[in-house]
Amino acid sequence: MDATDQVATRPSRPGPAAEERAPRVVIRCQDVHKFYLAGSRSVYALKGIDLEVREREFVSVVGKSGCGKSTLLHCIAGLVPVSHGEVAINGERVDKPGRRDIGLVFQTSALLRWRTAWDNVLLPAEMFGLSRAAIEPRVRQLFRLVELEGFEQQYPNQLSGGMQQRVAIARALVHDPAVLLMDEPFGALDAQTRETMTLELMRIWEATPKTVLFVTHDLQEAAFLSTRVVVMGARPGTIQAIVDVPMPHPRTPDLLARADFVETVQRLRRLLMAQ
Amino acid sequence: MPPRLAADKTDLELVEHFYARAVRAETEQRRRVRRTTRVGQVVVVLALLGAWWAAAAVYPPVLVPGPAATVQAFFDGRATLWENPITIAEIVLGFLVGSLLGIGLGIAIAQSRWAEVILTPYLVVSQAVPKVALAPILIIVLGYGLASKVAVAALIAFFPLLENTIAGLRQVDPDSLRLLQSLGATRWQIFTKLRVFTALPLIFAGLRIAAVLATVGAIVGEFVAGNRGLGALLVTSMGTFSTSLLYATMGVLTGLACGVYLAARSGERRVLARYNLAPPER
Amino acid sequence: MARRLVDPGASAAGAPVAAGTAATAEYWMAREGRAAAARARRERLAHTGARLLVLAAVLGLWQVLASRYDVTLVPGPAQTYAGLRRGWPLIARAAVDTSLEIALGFAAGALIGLILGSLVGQSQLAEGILHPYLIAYQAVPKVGLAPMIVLLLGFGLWPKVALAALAAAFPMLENTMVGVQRVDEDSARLFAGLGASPTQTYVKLRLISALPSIMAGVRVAVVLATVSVVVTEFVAGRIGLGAVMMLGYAQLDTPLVFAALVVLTAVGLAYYFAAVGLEALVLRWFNLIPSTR
Repeated sequence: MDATDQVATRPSRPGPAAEERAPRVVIRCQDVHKFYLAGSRSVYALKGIDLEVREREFVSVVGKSGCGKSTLLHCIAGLVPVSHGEVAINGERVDKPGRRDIGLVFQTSALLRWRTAWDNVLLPAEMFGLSRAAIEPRVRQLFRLVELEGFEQQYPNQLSGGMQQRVAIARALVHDPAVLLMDEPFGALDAQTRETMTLELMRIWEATPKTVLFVTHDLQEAAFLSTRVVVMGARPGTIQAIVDVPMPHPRTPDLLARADFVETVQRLRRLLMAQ
Repeated sequence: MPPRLAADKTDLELVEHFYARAVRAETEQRRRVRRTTRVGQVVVVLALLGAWWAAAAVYPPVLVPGPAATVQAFFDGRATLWENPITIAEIVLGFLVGSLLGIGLGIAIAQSRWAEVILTPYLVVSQAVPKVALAPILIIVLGYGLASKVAVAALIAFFPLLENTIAGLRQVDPDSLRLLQSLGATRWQIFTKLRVFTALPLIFAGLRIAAVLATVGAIVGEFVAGNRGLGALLVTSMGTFSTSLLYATMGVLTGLACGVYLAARSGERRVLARYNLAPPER
Repeated sequence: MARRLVDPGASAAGAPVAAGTAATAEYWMAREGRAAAARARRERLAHTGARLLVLAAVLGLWQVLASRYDVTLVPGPAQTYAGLRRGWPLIARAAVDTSLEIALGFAAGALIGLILGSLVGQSQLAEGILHPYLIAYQAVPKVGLAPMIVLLLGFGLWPKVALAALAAAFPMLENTMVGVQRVDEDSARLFAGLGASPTQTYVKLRLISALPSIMAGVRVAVVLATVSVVVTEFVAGRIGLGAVMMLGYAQLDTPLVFAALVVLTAVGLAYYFAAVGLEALVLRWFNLIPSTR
């Protein structure tokens, strides 16, 4: 942890702890702009984004559709280049995709139909050249973690939406990345499953020490899961505010009814409405 | 730390800054792609011509006439090549007959659930049967004239069109169907106001295929009958080893086939655009 | 067919039912299921019966027409069978030749189409360059090339194989190209995010997800190969069932022509169904059968 980590950027600091004891910065975006042409339209997706995500934080990004939150995630993952500024993960600059310290989860589970759940989870290990023998116990452990023990040999089309996303999460964790980037992973699920999966994700995160950046349009989901919520505005995409959610982890469903939590969600809603 | 970009600029200035860069980069790339594509296409043509010329140099002219000899034969044989535009007539008539039959029968079959169920396996099976094989029989029965070639062309062209018509009429959006039914539309009204339009893209794709197949049918008919037309000319010049005439005829035939295909495709585009049914560009 | 599994994490829907009513409910559901299955079986039987009836009617009509008109023009089923028996050694040998030509031509063309389609599918530039030529290739009936190819390759096996390969290559090329390109966005992002090289992405993702399209191309290619072989045999006329047909045609031996046609139809159908079977096998192996969820 060196002095530059102490530089406070915009609004929130991660909690009342003294700056010297703050955990190190894992994801850093500095003055990130992203502009692109889509056919005849021009899209100023990100303007002047400054963001620091520290170790073990769970940060959600919310905003109306088209505000650039997915683009931000893709930039951090290195899937698209930035027009200006710099993205760094674990101190190293991100300029192309394929970093081993990132795990990705998409809205569509993107599981390969022709592989069993087990083989799907093994995919990153194959790509990164990790030895099968070393990885297999870890895969078994991950199936236990996402509570899909016994379903290893099922094909994706034999699994429900929620189960598919759990396999996708296990796959994102198999190469033990420091960072998990999730792009509306529960967006394609029905409301019931989404609630279940939110609790599941909470449990999984508490069991593994990862830093998570989580894009969603569901404010309650964002507040429930996160330590901080980034509110983005659209056209051009900027960070309007970063809201702390200081309630302690582990969090239980009865938090949803608590007055301070409800007030936080209301605050987020007001911020979005004001745009 | 580098200075922030947005520090002293308004939003508009920022957009202009990025826009200018993006547009420049994109036009640059587009120009490069266009240039490489043109060059590539020219290279392909030159390579083909070169290969032809090389083959002509290696093999005796009776086997492979060069480009020059072919062009010469084209001018010399102008009379023979163009005295009977009968091949064109065969193609057009075959296409018309085949299309009318294909679409007509397709509409009739689509209306009757029973007919569709019973005939579907036969249609599937007929896909696999090489209908060109019927040419000798049709010529025996209908003679050496125009009728047999038109029959062959129509027969070959008709099947895919029939299938496409049936598939197109079947693929109606159930919600649109329910809407019309709830408005009390008769079967005829549902047909003219809904089914026809959802079927149009597939029908026109089928017409395009039918045009190409009518050409195939006409040519194969002429191969077998061997008396008049471009196909017959191909076979006779093969038999007499008049290779440069053969190649010249091939050239004419290629031009004709391309013309037929482009006419069909432009007709398709025009009609689909008129009814806003054109599929979005990739 | 695999059943959809219920998410064990989700709460069980509905309260548990008392044992007695549960048994009754199961009983009624089973009865209903059996009745529905029986109805479906009856319907299938009726359909098959109707189809066979149509077939019998067509054959009957053929026989009637043949007996009314001059037999030398249109032989009936009986005469066709007689012609088949008469010309059997000739037809059998020709059938083997034709089958071989189709198989070789298809294999060569499919291979070329697959390779070229994969290459072109990966490169926007290559596709742009070849686009007009591919359209021309599709528009020009390759059967027209038969006389030229016969002149170059002779009257034996090879001109047929060559033309069949030329004809079969196009649908394979087009379908492979389209299939390789049409991969869903998130899967492509997944592979990019895992740092996959283009080869890895091609082998592990694009090629396999292109299989349905490729298999559809195989079906089309087989039919086109068959047609090309037949036409070349018409033109070259020395070996194969098409040549036998031309022989009968020249001698006005119409029963022979019909007999060869029937055998040719059988060969064409056999190859088509082989292609369909291969498609089913491959799709099942890779679990690519579209399931109705």
